[in-house]
Amino acid sequence: MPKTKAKIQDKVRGLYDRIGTEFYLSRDDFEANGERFNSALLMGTLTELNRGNMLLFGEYGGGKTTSAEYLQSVFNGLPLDLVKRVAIRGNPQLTEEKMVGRPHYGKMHQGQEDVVWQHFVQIGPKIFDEFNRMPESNQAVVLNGVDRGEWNYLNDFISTGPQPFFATCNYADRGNNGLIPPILDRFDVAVESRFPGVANVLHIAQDYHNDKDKILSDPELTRKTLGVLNSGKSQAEVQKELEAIVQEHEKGLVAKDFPVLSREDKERIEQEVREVPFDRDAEQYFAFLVAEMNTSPKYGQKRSIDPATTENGLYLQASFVGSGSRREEKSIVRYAKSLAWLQDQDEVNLDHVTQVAPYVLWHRVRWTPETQNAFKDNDRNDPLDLHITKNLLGDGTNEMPGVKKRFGESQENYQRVIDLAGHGKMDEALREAKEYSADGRGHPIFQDAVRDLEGR
Amino acid sequence: MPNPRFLKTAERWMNKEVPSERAQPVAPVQQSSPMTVNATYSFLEGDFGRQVLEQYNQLVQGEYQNASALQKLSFDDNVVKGSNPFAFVLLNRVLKDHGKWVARPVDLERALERDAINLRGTYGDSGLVLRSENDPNGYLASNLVSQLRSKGYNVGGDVIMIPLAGLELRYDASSPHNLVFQLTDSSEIITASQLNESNHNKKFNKGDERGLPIFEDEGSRTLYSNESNGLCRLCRDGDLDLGAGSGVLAYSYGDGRVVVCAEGTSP
Repeated sequence: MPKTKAKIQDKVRGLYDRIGTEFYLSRDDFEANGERFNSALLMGTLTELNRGNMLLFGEYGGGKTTSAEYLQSVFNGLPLDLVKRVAIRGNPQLTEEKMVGRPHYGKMHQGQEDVVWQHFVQIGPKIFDEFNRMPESNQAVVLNGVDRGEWNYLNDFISTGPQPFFATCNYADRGNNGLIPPILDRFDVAVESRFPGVANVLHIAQDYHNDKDKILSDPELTRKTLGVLNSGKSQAEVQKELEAIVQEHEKGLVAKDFPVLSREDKERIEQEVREVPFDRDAEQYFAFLVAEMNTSPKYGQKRSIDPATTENGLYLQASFVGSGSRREEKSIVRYAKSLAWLQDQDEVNLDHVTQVAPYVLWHRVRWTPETQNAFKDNDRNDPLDLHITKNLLGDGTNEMPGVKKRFGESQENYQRVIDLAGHGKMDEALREAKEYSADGRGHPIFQDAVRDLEGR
Repeated sequence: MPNPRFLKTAERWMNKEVPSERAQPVAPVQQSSPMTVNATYSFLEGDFGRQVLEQYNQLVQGEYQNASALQKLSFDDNVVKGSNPFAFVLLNRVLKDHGKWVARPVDLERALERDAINLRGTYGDSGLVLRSENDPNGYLASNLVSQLRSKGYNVGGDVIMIPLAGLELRYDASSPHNLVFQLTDSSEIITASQLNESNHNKKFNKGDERGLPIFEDEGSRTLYSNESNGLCRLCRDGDLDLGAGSGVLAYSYGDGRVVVCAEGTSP
């Protein structure tokens, strides 16, 4: 039913455009299939469609939190003032009790165990502001919540299921901490909220008291919601009442001619996104990328405890410490599919994957000092790690060619191996895969194919 | 037994037609080693140059029975002079013990791009160019081809370029120069269609990630590759042009310079 599909897409595009033109003024810095977007807003939109997790980096007052607030409010039918009220702000004293839940003190004095859940976990869509002000030791507390939408405290737990989650981070300063790798791996994508340009700033500067936000705010409903959250009712009852509040807010928005996405729309989008297939080029590029990030002829596979070795050539594996993860591969698939869906394409193509993948990887990958040195003096528009990632996943440079370039060089050989295997010529497929593997100096995809063909 | 998921994927991705026998042997695509990223470049000179040359001469005498093709290097004006592929392969063996290596084609191109060393007025070898088992240098070519075949490479299609820095040298009394080149585990085998005879006289300004020319009509440098057979030297001349058609492997003269690479400690 392409007509209906397009209608929902138009609605989503309408929300994207509305935020971009009225609330989060920005410049386009992302291009896929000839269409331009703002990366923060686009990835934020895809995060909403996917119910994913997104990190926003940027300078103080650069619009990180603001963009997350608008996205959560607009895509989830939540009053903007409520979104701001239930967001959590990182600080070194932030404990599990302040983030997740605390004992019910009254009941505790009577010898009973009960949990009072914090507003932050009760509301599905979440914002964690200044995430990296939280000490590394406390970051583990939010691991499960970020990953699965499950929050535990004492012997109780609360599950909101996967929900869009935004965390903002300032660039390194004296007051913040590094993010631990397992936490970074749980964020599907990361973006930079950028300087929007002088003309946009002149406009933003005139908005003294955020007057534009009034259309999205509803103090009365926010008070009502907080009452529900503090009511001590069961989680099922709370969720039911919250749903009613969302519907009431959405009605108000529609009355003000502001488009909303219904629950049914979102379910339908999720279903349609899942069904978008990859075309062959896109999937094979993805396979090359996975092979380069996870295999090592020297050590059997890439591991964070092994050094990045350059002995077998300048593949991606030689440029970073660590390895790929199953989470990041899922993120690439989900976000590439969402983008293809948003662009109303029948299939995920190479451009979708190559444009999305850097935003999935740049916060997760630890480039070696040699790799950083090779790029650090480049003229660039992106933060260094994103700049390196875009280069090395694309065509790269003369000194350090990228995955896309190698894909172009070796795809034909790989296709031969695939064709031979597909037509049942296993011996020939194995022989050619070994030839192309060249004792570990050929593309890692061939080493991987040899292992699959040999069944080991 | 093959992984059934791989086979399922193959069935999904495969073309309808069964692939035919390869019309031309295809060499694997390999990536250059990234040693160039932080490399520093210098001529082999000063006390270090003198010391390396002494060690080199001891090897020539002790292991290679003073093969004449190796007696081509001299120390003069505080720098090691001379260049041919035999000498550079052996010199690389000495340099390796010092954590350095003889510049490969890619190293030379990066050095030129960065203006890291002035190579004008000098010449130097950096690789071998293998086109067939025939002459020029049929004995050496045929020997290399069998080594490549035993490693699973097919030879006879595109030109193959092998940087000298990954080779070793073996004494062989049957060889015209009493020497043969030996592939090692670290040899780079690079398919180099750019060095085909058809590209003779083409212009370029710089090299790609393997050090092979990127042709441009308005380029200021020239590739000389007027040869379709055998084994030739890959050699840069004093105008920074690239020669890939000379089969005179042992020849060396005083403008030859060894460009030595080392891992840099700073970007």
